[in-house]
Amino acid sequence: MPFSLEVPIFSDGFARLVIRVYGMQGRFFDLLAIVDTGATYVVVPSSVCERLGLEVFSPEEPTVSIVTGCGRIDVPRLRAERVELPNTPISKENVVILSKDMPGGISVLGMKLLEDLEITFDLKKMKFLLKDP
Amino acid sequence: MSEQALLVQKYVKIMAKHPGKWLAVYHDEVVGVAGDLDTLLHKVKDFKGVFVVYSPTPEEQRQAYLI
Repeated sequence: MPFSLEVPIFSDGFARLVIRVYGMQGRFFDLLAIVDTGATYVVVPSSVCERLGLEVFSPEEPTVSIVTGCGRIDVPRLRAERVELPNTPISKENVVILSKDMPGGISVLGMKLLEDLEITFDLKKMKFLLKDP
Repeated sequence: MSEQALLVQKYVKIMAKHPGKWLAVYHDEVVGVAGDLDTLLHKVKDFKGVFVVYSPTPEEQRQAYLI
């Protein structure tokens, strides 16, 4: 079913969306995540991952090597039962979550969650558009 | 405005009242405020489905990111 949403881009240049991350036994947290087109995965603070009881996504590959602005680091690669954007039909099961404490406590919405969607950053109008055509 | 945008707007308004703190919001009410995330999560351990966020200070809001 076609769907679209529009949110304002903040003055710092980031679009932010509320994401809902599900762990074991239906536990979930809502987080405010930065939409990062340069990020592959969803990044969640490690304490939240612990509280949700997120398990390793794949025992053969418990960590993933990621390239950051400060170099390459290994980060735990966990599995969320589901991640969704509340008040939208966007929802995915068995989602890779990187457990990482980012500066400023930020969570990151990487492109894996949005890979089937059309996204537009309209910096002139300071609007972020998400569309399922 | 989309419902997501309204949700974000609502949380940003709440965050503005608690700069430099971690917050937990449940059903539009602030149910926990702490200086660090571990303390906050301990305070709200009985809640299911809490919104948790760090509210940056005005100085932190001026920082640029390379992520």
